[in-house]
This record gives sequence, C-alpha cells and structure tokens, in this order.
Amino acid sequence: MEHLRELTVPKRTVSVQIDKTKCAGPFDCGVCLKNCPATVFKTYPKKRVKGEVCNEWDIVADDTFCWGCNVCTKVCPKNAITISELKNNIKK
Amino acid sequence: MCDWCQQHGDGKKWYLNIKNYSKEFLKDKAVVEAVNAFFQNIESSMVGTADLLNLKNDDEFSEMVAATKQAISTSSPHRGQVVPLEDVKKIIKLAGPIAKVACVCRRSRRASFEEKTCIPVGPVFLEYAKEWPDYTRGGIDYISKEEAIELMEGFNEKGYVHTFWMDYRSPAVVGFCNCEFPTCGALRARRFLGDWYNFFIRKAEYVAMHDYDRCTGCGSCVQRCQFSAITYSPYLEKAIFDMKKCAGCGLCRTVCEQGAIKLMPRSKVPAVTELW
Repeated sequence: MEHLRELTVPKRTVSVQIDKTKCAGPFDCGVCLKNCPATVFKTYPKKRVKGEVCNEWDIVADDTFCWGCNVCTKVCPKNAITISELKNNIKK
Repeated sequence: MCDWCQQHGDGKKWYLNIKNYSKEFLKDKAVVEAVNAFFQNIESSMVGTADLLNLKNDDEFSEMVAATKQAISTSSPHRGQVVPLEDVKKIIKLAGPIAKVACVCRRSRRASFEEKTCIPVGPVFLEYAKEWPDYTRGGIDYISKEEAIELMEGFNEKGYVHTFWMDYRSPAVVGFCNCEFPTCGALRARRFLGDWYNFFIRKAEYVAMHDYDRCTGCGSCVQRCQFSAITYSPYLEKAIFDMKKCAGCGLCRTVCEQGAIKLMPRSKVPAVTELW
C-alpha cells in the first residue's frame, strides 16, 4: 500500500504561502489565479447562505501541483506570495 | 455506451431521451438535495485533485482506493459527458428553458466573474438557481434556442470543449458547460490523475478518425486538443492521433481545412469501444 500511495500521490516539493494581510482578494485583484499555469490557486466563498450574496471570498493555494515557476510572485502587486522549497522532500 | 447511460437511454443516447428532461425529478428529494448541495459548496468541494490526493495515512488512501474501485465500474452513475457540436444542436432543439450563467470553474480557478459560458438546460438547475444568488453571480440570462446555438458555435470556434451534465444519482439533465484544461475541474481531474478517474466526466459517444492521406501536416488541430490526444510528427510531417486519449469532442474537426477529420461512433471502433 505504501508503494502504491507513493506512485499515486504527487510529492509536494514546494510550499506556496499567501500573506492574507496583504492580499486584496479575488474581486479587486485575482491576478495570481488568472496567471498560474498549473491553476494552483482557488477562490471560494467563506460562507454561502441560501438567498444571500457572500462578498468575502478566500484564496487558497493548492500546492501539490505547483512547479515553482514563480509567475505568481512576479505578478502579485502586493508581494503577498512566497514560494519556498521543501528541502526534506527532495532527494538530491 | 456505458451501462449507466444505456440504462437511462431508452434505446437512444441518454441526452436525447426526453424523459431525462422531465420536471418529475424535482419531486425527488435526493435530486433536490444534491442540486442544493451543489449550489452551496461546489467551489470549496472542487479543491479536487490536490486535496483528494493529499492523504495523510495509508488508511485514508485505502479508503479512497475502495471508493474509486466502486465508482469506476461502468454501471455507476457519473456526472458529465463530452458532446460534439451536432449533438449539442440536437439537445438544444429538444429541450428548454435555456439560460446562460457564469462558469463556476473559471470563477473559482481564474477569478473570472464575467464570462457566461455555462448553458443550463431544463428545469432542474433553473428551478433552484434563483435561490442561490451567490452561486449565480452576474445573473441568469434566459436565451432563445437560436441564441444558444449561436453561442455554442462561438465557443466551438474559440476552442472550448462542450460537455453535458446530469445530477449524480439520477439522469436528470442539468445543462452544458464549455470547458478548457486546466481551468475546468473535471478535465483537470482526468488529466492530472489519469483516465481511471472517469466518474466525473466520460468521453463522447464518438471518436475522431483521421484521414491520413488528406492530412497536409499544417498542425492546426494540434493546439485545439484539450486532451493531448494529437501530436505533430516532424518525421512524417503529419498529425498523429492517439485514439485511446481522444474524447471525441470534435474541436479538431472544426479547424481542419482539408476535411481530414471525421467523427466515428465509438461503438464502431473496437479498440476504444469500452474506453470511457
């Protein structure tokens, strides 16, 4: 089972962190979502209730598929994204 | 045709069976629950691929394998299927009402709140969509059949794959999406995880047949394929089709100036008849 899991589950090699205090959110900005070639970022409403419009949407990074290309760190106008290498996960 | 579709097709393709467009489904509590759950948390549940695979221990993994084994058997329900443009036109002529709404995948993955590329068809989606204004951001625009066909032709030109969707537990028709990789949750899942992950979206009833003699090797079809089924061979100076990957969407056919690409019913091509 361990081998099968290793074959199926992609290994996380980088970690993508979004600084929520700087991030302007998907309505005002959202350039990281528009530009990521691996579609690592995702936005969704914090709480959706029947009959109401939710204006607080969260952006999260789904970094299992991140290639570390740094497009997002370059396009982010607030410099809110940092990509760091997960050194323990990579054999060199 | 997969067993599930055969069961609900009444001798036809499931999406051409008028029974699946019925208002009767709205009386079924399970359908209503599923539709409302979809409206409430589709974006957050669509985390999809990464979270699905980011499993902490072997127990969680074996649970997923067991669930998948059950789900991929061809008799199990699935949510959507690729449809080529000629079938799109047949469906639009068959049923109503038709509307357009913003695409949930593009909104969630690309922060695109404007472009209205999803075309709900029939009562099941539209009956409850009004109750979820946050889901239908940008509003629901009702359109005529002619407008719908024009829109779909435009999307075909642009290179979006037409897909047709139903509710999970029943064949209740929900509507069209016009998808692209990697933004679309369903195409992402299939291409990132592999073809075994087919309980979200299945291939079309067709497969592209490539007339080798007529192909001039212009390569215009290569960039149209969202399933990476077409490659250009520099040695042969022609396009090569991988029929096992082909989903039968017919987008390559639209741009072929030589008319070298035709869609064949999947059942007539033995190698891919059982590949869904």
